Amino acid sequence: MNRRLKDWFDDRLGISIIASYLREKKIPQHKHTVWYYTGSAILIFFGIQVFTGIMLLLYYKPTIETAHESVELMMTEIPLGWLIRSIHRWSAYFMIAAVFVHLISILLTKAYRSPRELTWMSGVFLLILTMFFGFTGYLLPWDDLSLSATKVGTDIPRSLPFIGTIVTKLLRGGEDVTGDTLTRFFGIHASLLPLLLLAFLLIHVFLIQKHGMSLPISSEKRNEKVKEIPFWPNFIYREMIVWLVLLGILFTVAIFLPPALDKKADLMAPAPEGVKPEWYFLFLFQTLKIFPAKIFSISGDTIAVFLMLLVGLLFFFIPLIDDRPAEKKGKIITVLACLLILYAVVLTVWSLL
Amino acid sequence: MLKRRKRQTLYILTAPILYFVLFSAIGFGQQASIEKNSEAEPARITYSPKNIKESTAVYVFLGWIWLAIFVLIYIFRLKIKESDRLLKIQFFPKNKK
Repeated sequence: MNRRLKDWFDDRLGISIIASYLREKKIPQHKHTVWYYTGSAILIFFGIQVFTGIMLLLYYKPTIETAHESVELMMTEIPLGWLIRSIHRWSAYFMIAAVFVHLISILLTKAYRSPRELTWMSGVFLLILTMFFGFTGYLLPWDDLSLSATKVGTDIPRSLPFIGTIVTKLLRGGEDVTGDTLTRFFGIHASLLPLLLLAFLLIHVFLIQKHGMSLPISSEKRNEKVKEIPFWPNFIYREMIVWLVLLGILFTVAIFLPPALDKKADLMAPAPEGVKPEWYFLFLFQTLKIFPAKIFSISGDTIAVFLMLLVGLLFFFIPLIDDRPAEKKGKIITVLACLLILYAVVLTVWSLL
Repeated sequence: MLKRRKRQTLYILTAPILYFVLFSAIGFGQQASIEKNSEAEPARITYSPKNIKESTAVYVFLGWIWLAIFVLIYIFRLKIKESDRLLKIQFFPKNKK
């Protein structure tokens, strides 16, 4: 019976073809294999985000009159509502951290080189989408801090000449952050971004399957044969261990450190002191702060935003800039990447102090 | 025999976890919206389990999770060893479809 049922599904869905493909798929084993696990960790956290996000959607009401109350209700009255919200928040943090680690590992191992340029670019798009997820989600509880941080965040594009004001208006749904911004952010957070992320994720995964896993530069250089193991079942069991440990850490942190909810946002009230964005935006926030108000009669904010955009573009187009063969070491890129990481860490810590 | 015992242990361990996850999820979904009647709004709401019963339930749940994780890791490690051994002896023909 079991066999017949399996065959029935196999005839219609072609499961054996997928199973055979997974068995044939090989994963290289070398000293950098550990970085391969970061990709699937992102997928796990994204899955948790979708699940907990749907749970939160059951109670969340995206209007300025009800948003804060609905989050408060979840945290205080709904059974385990606080835990679902806490897992959603912490899983977002873990996901963003995993995306950062994943991209940095690719940058340092030069895995973006030919033929994986588009894989890198789709990955950078995924990073931007993930950060935008965090940015839009931060406003949804509609508390004092989230309102002020969103005001600051949506004001940044205003520094850009010509298009700045339009971008700010588009983000806010008007001149200021109001109920329209909340509705807009909710729509973007709960429908537009998941669809975009899914689309880019499919492209990204397809490209990874097409080009296979990259090898370390040392192996490429010596043209040596690297030991490989099948994806199914040898590698997937190893991945499962990583997922389990990450899930355990996520649950533990979510239980012991649930996020707080500030008092309800008041559009008329002055911004509270010490407004800061989420940790993953702190280095950008601090960069804006360290720039003087005017540099040669040009606004310091404008120069800072331009510089950030420039670095972002260089980051995006790095496979085209460093288009040397895979076996070349690329020491300059390594040094620049290390400096960028150091800069981000130092400025984040500085902002926290 | 050993395999059977392992499977039994796995079932025993997963049952309470499934119970907690499923029932808490159902409870979360079925809770009707409760009217709020607080007069003065608190400055900052931080949530921690309200009473000893709730906190015990949460910590026991966490304990079960970690216990299940350790057992599953142990099982997966055995699975890895076995699949690596089969790979080494080339148990599966290379072009098997």
